[in-house]
Amino acid sequence: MSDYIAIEHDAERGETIERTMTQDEIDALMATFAGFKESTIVEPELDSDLPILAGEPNPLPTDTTQ
Amino acid sequence: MTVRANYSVGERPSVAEMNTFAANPALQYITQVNINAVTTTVSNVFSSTYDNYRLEWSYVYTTSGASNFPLITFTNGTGTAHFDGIKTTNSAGTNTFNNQNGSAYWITAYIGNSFTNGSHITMDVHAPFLTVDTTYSSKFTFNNGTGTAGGGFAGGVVRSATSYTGFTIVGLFGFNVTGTLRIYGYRKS
Repeated sequence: MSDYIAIEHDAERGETIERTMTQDEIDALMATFAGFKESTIVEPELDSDLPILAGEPNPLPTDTTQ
Repeated sequence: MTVRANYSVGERPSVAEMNTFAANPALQYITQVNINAVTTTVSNVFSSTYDNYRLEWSYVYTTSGASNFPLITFTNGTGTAHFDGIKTTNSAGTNTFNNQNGSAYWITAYIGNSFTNGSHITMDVHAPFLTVDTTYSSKFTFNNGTGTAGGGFAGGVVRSATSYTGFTIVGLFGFNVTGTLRIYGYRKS
């Protein structure tokens, strides 16, 4: 497995340090992901009816004076 | 900077005024970080000079399709102060929702599966240096190579009236995050 790399960039000094993370740092990092919530995925309903069928009157208000 | 708003027809800004405008854009460059790491800590970037900041991420990707959420923490990955929500829609019509309701991290975006040319994030961070809650909003696009593409948006808060001078980007589950991050400050006046 390749090394775990950490970058530390100081914006004030414009300096960047790249180093290999220690095992303790890696263990501590992994522990922080324990409570990460899973994604909720909603697939498209490809065969569902359109909300307004062709030929039906438009149910939306047509009064444009307001 | 004084900005005149009363030029008359035919009148042009002076060279000095033009130079003043050019030297004082609304977004002012602060720093750039070339990211290719599991964690990237940016320090001494927030200050009293600006209240709000733009984080512009270019060509962002991770080394694992299972880890396509770059995270940000203001508490070095500790605590439960981060709250956020994120919605992504891909070109096949699939909607994906994520949220963290008291976490050590914000999810900044969904950036696709290790494809180097298509994922970009525009993120605004509000008031990190002030002693109020820090919030963010981001919009993003992704491109899974020959697979789906799409985009989404996210927003959230760190519920802590702490003044932060920096933050850390973290690859979920310890995978690398790669890309270029440029940080700008919003000029206050």
